[in-house]
Amino acid sequence: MIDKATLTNYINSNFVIDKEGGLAPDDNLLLSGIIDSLGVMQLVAYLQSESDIKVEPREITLKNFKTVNSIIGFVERKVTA
Amino acid sequence: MLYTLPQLIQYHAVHSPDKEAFRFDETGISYAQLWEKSNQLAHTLRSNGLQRGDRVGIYLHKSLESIVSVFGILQAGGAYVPLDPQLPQKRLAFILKDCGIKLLISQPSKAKNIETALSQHQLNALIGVDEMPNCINCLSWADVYGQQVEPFDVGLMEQDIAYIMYTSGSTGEPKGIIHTHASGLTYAKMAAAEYQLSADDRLSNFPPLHFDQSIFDIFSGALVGATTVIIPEEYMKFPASLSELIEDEKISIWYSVPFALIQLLLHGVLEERDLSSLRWVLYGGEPFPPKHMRGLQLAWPNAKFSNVYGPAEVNQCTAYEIPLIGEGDEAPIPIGRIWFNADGLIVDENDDPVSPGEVGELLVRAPTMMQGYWNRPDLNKKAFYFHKKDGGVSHRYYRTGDLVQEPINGELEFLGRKDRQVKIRGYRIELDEIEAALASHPQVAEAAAYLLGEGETKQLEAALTLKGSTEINQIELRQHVMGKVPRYAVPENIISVQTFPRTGSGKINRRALQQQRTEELVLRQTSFKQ
Repeated sequence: MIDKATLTNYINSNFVIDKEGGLAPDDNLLLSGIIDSLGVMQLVAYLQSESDIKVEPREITLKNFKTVNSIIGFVERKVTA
Repeated sequence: MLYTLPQLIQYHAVHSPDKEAFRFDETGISYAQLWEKSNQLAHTLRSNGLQRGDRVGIYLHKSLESIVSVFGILQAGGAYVPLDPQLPQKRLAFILKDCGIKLLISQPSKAKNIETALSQHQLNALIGVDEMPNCINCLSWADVYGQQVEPFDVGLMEQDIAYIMYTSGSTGEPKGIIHTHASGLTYAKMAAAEYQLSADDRLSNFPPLHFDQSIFDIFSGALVGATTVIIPEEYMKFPASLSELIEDEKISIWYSVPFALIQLLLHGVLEERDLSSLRWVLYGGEPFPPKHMRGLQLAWPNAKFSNVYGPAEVNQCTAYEIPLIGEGDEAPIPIGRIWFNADGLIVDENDDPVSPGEVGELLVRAPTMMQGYWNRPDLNKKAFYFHKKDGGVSHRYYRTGDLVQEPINGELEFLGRKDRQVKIRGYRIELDEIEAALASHPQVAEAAAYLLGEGETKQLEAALTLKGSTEINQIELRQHVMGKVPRYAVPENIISVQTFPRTGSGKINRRALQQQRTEELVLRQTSFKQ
């Protein structure tokens, strides 16, 4: 399963982060304009391949994708379910 | 009788004070509260030097404060200038200067951008940001809400400027579209009548404030005393959350660009939602693929669907209610008939009317039309056409730049642009501006921008040739472009090519390039499916 550091590293190197020191685990990925709607789909594809999970459309929600921490929490729940 | 936009709030603050006027993130503001807060902001602005007709910038993410800002500025006799919160520093600095903005309303997260922009421009006051180094007159919302709530009369007239909306310009500099209280309010009234709005309606506000569709959401909603639900920006990326919000908030009137509706249809898990509250769904900004329209019509059988056509310069020109699209029917959805109280001409290159069935540019005259572009006599000269009729009286028409077909059955059809303006998710983008931004990078020799795909797969791509043999850093290049154009105008894909196809005169053959890239993408998708 994907861990926090790997995910943070992936976002830092694939999206434009306009913040000194890069992304923090509780930064709002959505409000800051880091990830647009195409970026969300890119992130979903990445999570599916890295953690061997299937993300359903109903699970692609604000709550699950708000921060690095919430994404990790979501993936953890999927893996252990 | 209502003559100015703040009177909309004043009227309902008296007649239905406790009715919720706007909602954001599960919090509401009543008409009475909005009226009081608008007056408090108006007092703050006046005591910081605002004179009637002065421009005030709103550089905020969506919030209830952004609505208080709109009405507070108008109530003080100012004109609001909505600024894209994602605006790059250089563009922010340009607009502040171009529009002579002396008062700005913003939020702490924007302080860094503002500080840089202010190195070239002086403000009287900055509201909503109380902590910024070297800020001479920073005021918090607590300061604003400490002011008196009584209204004061600034003698506002319907011909006073209400707002100035900036849009991309082909020269690389954005241009400000000026609307008066008369044009804004007339539009609010016409749209409320056309779509039969009432106080029982719950309108969505999907577009941001700097997008002209917000005029309908804010002012038509306030005209009839309805509740308008402001949809936070991040919902655009999560159709499953957006459909849940529409259900929870019982939205009855929806207005957005096609992109948002297509996302809802394809990824909004509509089968799990009860969206029967929707009674009228409006879209505008770009063509809607008929198969997806049919999908929505079947998903929401109780709702009416309408195509709303009109550039920001005119608000709305035509109205068209869409009948149920037949299965497999791929005919483009018309833009409809010229709206009531408006007049349209379809002309050829010499401004002579075309024959029925021929393609020409649409010129429009309407009471909802802009006053002109801010401080741009050159553009104003080109934007308007004076047509003599009715016994020699000259009437002013706006040149839309849109090519339409003279109707035989009465319903106009949109057939493209005269120039290189394109639309992505409803945003107007000038391809020349993107090419100029790319070409200003020191490693780039030449650049060409173009659209690929259609409907929900439509995307902006740019190709470039390099000056040297060193590879270009994609992230650094994107940051460079982002510093010059709004985020929505940054190409999703930037490719580097050895050479460009050329026309006989040696210019980049953009059409050939676009065709070549489309074929390559189709080929790649086909091989991927196998």
